[in-house]
Amino acid sequence: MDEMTVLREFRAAVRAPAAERLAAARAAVLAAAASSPGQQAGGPGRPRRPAWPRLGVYGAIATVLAAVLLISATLIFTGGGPVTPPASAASRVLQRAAAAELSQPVPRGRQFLYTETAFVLQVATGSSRTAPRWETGTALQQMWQSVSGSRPGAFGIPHCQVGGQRRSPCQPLIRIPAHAGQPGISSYADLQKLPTSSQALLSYLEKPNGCPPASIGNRTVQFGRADRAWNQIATILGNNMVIPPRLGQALFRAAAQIPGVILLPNVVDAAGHRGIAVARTASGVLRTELIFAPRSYRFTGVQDVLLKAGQGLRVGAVWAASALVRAKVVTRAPATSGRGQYAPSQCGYLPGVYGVGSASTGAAASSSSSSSGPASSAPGG
Amino acid sequence: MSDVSPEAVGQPIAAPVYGTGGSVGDDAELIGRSVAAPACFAGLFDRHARAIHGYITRRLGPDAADDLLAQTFLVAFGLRGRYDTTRADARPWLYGIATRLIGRHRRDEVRFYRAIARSGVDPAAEPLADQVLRRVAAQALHGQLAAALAGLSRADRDVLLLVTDGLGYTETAQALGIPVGTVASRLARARKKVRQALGGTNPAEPQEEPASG
Repeated sequence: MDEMTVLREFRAAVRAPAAERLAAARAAVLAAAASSPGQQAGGPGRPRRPAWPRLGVYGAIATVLAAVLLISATLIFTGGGPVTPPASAASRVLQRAAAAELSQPVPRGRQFLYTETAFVLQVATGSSRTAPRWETGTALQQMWQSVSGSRPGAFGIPHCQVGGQRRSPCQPLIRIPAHAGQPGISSYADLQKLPTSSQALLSYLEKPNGCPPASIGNRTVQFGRADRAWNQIATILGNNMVIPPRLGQALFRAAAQIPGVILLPNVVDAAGHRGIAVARTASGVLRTELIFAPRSYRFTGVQDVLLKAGQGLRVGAVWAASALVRAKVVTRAPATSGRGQYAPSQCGYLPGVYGVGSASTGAAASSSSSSSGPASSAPGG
Repeated sequence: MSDVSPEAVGQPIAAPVYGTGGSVGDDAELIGRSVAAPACFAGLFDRHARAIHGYITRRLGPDAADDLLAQTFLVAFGLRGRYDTTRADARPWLYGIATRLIGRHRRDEVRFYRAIARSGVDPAAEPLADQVLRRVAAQALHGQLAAALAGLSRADRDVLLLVTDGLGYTETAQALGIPVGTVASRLARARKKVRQALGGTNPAEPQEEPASG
């Protein structure tokens, strides 16, 4: 893939502006036009109207929107899919999961949390200019996270498989920067500072967090409070997999209070284990499931399932899933050799997509791209 | 305009929008008419606003884009009487105005790219749904790309990003008011730097030989 292709894809990833965003600018231009005398025609007293039908942009948007809605209307659930029992069934599972959290050990600040996570995701192959061809990718991820956040950790993908092709390693070990007190990554210690009363935690999770709104086509989907909270829960669990017991307890109790949660009694997680899931759907597109072991009610993983077909993906496809395979407390993190450093998305749960920015080692770093240390300055924006 | 690559022009969704005012003549005619009938200028907005918005968003983020989009068209409106109506396509003119306005926010731009590079979170990108469905192997490279863009000189970055947005060499030269030869040399330098920064480090693609690690 050459650099122009990467650049075009970078450009193409930009959200299409919502109609309201353009409308404000358009109104400003029209206002300027209205207050500006034409140089020959359009004298005073003569009503000035835009010569071009307003249909323009908005007509096109409406057409696209209609198409999107049409697609949404064809939404179907997969066979053997969700049952919608009384909300209490889902909340009973969450209460049991909350209780199960308390049996987990608490590591010490100087230690590292080692986790092995299996994940599954859809990988687009081929050029961005043609319709993507989708392959299901599976991978194993290793993380050594400093409990206090004050020591550098390590992240790697020792092997992965996409469309029958196995690669090893998929991502050589890269550094998780020491990040005590810095936004971007939450250490175990950072998570210990979150509220442990479910009510206070829920308020925290519901708060707007500066993340961009989700979009479908050119329609911006404003996340409501409940959507935000559920998305945040999945993000915290998906990014960390092991969290402080008291936070886990509060998190699942808070989840039980979020409206629209359903129970999926029989799911398979990314590691292939059967489990019970509680799930919630945001904007009719993605159903985000939290999965628990059937008897112990221990949290085992997160899963996003597509509820809207499109772009060659079928309804019911697992868009992204991860499941905890192993977790233990260790005293050291291994040395890293890969370029870049790990930074998970804080705005949504997306396994296999992680920042490797700000190259600090490697031959290519001699170019001007590495002019600043990755963690030395305050986050911009 | 023979060197414009059509696939790079704007977003897929924006494509039908370009055509909405097409039956009433080219940009030059529209601008010419707007001199006497200012409201005609809205037609120019409807044709190009989405592409320009996307261009600014990629360089400064979505919030700044809303603001600068309006400014771009207000400046253009003020200058419409001086538009060279032999140029049928107004994109180089509009992109040029937008680029000059972006230039006043150069520090913000560099900060924006560094934030993407550091956090791996791109506030301008589609976080969910359709756009994410087109997730490609390149995605993991965007952090490195952003870091590389932050390290380019402003002059080189202007050229690189205008060409990325679908302007040809001639149009880019018009937009920036520089000779075509300068466009070519700046582009070559910018591409080389970006290529070096990305070189052989695509984590989403197979490494031919197992890297040590």
